[in-house]
Amino acid sequence: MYGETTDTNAFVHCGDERFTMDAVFLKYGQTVFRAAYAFVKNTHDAEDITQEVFISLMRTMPLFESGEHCKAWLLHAAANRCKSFFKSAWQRKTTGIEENFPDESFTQSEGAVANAVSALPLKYREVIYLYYIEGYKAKELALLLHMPQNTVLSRLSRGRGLLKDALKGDFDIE
Amino acid sequence: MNKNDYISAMQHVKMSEEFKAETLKKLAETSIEGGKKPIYFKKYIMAAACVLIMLAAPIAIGSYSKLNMAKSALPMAAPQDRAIQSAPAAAKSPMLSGAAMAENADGGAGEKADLATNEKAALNSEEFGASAENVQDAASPTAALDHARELVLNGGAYKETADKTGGYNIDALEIISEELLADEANGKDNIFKFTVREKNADLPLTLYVALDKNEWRFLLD
Repeated sequence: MYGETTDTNAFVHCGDERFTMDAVFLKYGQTVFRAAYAFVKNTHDAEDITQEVFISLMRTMPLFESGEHCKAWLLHAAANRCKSFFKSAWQRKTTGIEENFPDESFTQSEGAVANAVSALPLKYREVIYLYYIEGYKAKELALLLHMPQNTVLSRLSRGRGLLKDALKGDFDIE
Repeated sequence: MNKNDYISAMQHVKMSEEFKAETLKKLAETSIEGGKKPIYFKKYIMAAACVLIMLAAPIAIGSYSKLNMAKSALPMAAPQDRAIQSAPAAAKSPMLSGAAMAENADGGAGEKADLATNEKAALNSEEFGASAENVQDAASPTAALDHARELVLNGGAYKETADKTGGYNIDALEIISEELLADEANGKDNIFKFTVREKNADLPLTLYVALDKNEWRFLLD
């Protein structure tokens, strides 16, 4: 399976449609980058992970049932690579540069919520990001993250609780 | 604060144009490379190559050693080289060289004067078509002597030479004496001196036969 179709004419098959790698990157690159950024909280690491995810896609070339399937595969790959990133010896022995969200384009409330979410442990941050930003349901997240649905729900619940604590109750996530 | 703040905050997170261009370029380069094999696949290939080398190296070393042993068991020089080397050695020998024989002839042995044409015929094995079989028979001194005697009595080579030169009638040849002048134990070729005589002739004839593992030479006196 590996390295079978990686020539310049390779296409990513999404159901009846097929896309070039460039088209897939332009379509889903932003999604993957944003997810990676939400997980690792660093622009450069997020960029590295994004590139790795797409190169991985190029090498494996799985057949997708649809564009949504392709997106889910990319997000799953990004999540796994982020977990590997945190498990790496380099990451464990060094202190990464975590970026806050003090972007001037952010409002005060946006920055506060974003920083509070990014301060959550990865397992909560992951489900909250995918649930609220990417719009996946708990059942879909269970399939995407390969975990029981109840685990997804409990992580969502605990993540919300931690956010409320962090924002001192001034947070309505529902 | 609510979830919309989080959603709008994340909307600000975007890839830079430089990163986008760089990634597209990298994807194109990866495509052109024809798809690199995953690293673990390379590891398998490397591991297999190492195992093959580890298996093949002792075999190769063993073969090389055996080859060297076989080489050391062979004579120092190839047969052709030996033939070339032995001819000058024979020529240097005072007993075998034609010049020495001529001197002896001048020294009073007038009966040998008519042998002058033949005594210079330090004939080598190629001339007589020596075969490998009869040479190998002469491995030991005794066998070599037998072989040399056979050459003298039945040697068509000598007969052929004698016929060509018109010198002798080998059919009536008889051996008066035979002597081993040198043998391989002294690092030299087996050299035999035969004194022969034609039955219908009064004058004896001295023949020298040089044998070694690879050739024989038939020398007339």
